[in-house]
Amino acid sequence: MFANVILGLTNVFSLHNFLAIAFGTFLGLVVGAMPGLSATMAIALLVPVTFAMPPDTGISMLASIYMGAMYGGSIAAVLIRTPGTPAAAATTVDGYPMAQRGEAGRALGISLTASFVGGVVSSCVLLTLAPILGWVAVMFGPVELFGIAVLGMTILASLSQGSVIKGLLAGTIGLLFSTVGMDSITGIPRFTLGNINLFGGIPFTVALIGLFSIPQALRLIEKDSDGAVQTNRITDKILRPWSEVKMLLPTFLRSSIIGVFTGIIPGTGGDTACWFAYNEAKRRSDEPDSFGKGSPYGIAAPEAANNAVVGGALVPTITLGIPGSSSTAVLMGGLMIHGIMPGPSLMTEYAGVTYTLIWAVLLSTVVMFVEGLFFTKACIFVTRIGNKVLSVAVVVLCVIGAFAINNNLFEVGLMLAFGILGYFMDKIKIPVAPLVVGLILGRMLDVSLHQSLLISQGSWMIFLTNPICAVLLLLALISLIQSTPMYVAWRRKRRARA
Amino acid sequence: MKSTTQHYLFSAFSMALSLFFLQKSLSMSRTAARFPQLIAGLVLILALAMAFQTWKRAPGFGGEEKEPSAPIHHVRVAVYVAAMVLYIFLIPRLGYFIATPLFMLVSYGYFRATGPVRTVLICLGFPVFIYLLFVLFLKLPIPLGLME
Repeated sequence: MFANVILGLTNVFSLHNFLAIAFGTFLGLVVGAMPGLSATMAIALLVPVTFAMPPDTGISMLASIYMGAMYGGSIAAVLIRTPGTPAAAATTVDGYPMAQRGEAGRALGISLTASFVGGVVSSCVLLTLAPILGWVAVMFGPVELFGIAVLGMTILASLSQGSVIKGLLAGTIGLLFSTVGMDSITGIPRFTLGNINLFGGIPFTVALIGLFSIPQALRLIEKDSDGAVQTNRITDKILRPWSEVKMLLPTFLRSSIIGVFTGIIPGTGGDTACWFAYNEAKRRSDEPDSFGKGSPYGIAAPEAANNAVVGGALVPTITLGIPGSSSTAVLMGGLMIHGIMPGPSLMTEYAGVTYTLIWAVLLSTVVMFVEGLFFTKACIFVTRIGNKVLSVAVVVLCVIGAFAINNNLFEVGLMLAFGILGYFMDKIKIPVAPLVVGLILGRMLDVSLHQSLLISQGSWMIFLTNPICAVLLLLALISLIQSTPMYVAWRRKRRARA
Repeated sequence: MKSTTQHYLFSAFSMALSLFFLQKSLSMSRTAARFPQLIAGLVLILALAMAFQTWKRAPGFGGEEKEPSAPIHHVRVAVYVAAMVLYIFLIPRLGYFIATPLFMLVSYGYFRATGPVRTVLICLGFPVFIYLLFVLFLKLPIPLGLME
């Protein structure tokens, strides 16, 4: 294991990997600063570009985009009161009022420092926790893997925005789509409608480009702009004095820990973590009334938390093959186009790539801080790019990105079909992330179910007699019960009585 | 379209999808059909549950119909989607580097996204960027259509 850690460290400092990380972080910063473009979408669009790169370089670049976009989102949040990414939503509450007071540089400086601390804490957790969990996960057989996949799906669906039924429905539709193509066990084509393009299954990357990017492009043109008042200049210093950093350090650290643990739970990303951390900072503050009026703690907490989510979300992704957030689901797509199947084998068979990715998260945090100091002021111009201009460019990139994967125009049509499906799902608040995760986990669930039933000679009791699987299924059941309206109502009544 | 109707439509779509998968799986071997049948059954149950939930929350049942706060330009969205379909259809016929500026020009013109000079600059500059990245750097064989 130690040899792999050193191998990853050596890899990450090779010139091409370092350049990919620096470029990815910068790209993330710029994309994050553009209101309307999310980190997930940027990663989805860039996945085909990494196809020409070695796996460790490509995946390091994608992870760096994720890290850079988490800070980049705060630039638009502070300057134009519009979060550049959903994870920066809580930053608008105090960031914008501080900028209105003429302290935009201070607000962005606090945000940058918080993002740096959050990134470092989460990288350290990732470096220590992932190998331990990965070591446990390699001992898992098909029965345990089935339990893990079921637990991952149920947690993701039950924690998704909206009702639990909608989350589960999206997840199961994703699982259903994953069955299209050649069956891995029997080798017969399933649900291909005789179309040779579907024999290899629905290309996961094509689906996610459509699901994450086309709805965004449609959202950007469907409304007229809201005409938010913009802060045009940053006059004060972005690099914060040590006295201020020292004052905010407990908030940075506490929020980072909140972010890491929120990230580890599948289905919860930076958008959830930022509000958790913000509320916790307000609850612990001596001056809760200052929140919403430009409090530095109100900027420090969400920004540390959303960057800490990056490392946290990568823990279940790397060790178990269950994405911790929609962005890591897309990162998994990046691994899959390089022929690397997510799951416990990531820590053994593909240890070189995995440990490079882990170190890349830490390095991108440092690069983000340096680039943030130099380029934040320059990023003001990207916040001014019009929604409609962006939308058309996004569509053009989606088309070329979907085509680039297999040089196949059928897949471009498939991408658009998934995009329209994603748009309608978004309209009625059905989360898209469970569908994507269903598409990823479908094959693993299918194969592990087949293998488990072969071991047990067709008996379904194997899932209950295996203690690890039984516990995982029990946890899945509990997570489902906890999200039902009956349970919520019962808890509310109990609290009222107490 | 009201939110309730949209929910019913999505439930119907999910039910149709699950029934299609169930029907197709009947002609497969038991091993190959097991997982899709299990999942299709779950989709059917969840789609029915969603329809029931929508009916329970419908305005006539005591629920509240929430309309979006900002008006959405449905026609604009429909025209844009049609333009995308036409764009994808034209790529193999006209070629990527003719269809793309054309799509951008028409879309920017329809949305009045930016001034004419900037529109022309973006419509010409963006395909050049795509050419540099995907053709020169990634060596991707892009459909050239009429340019072939």
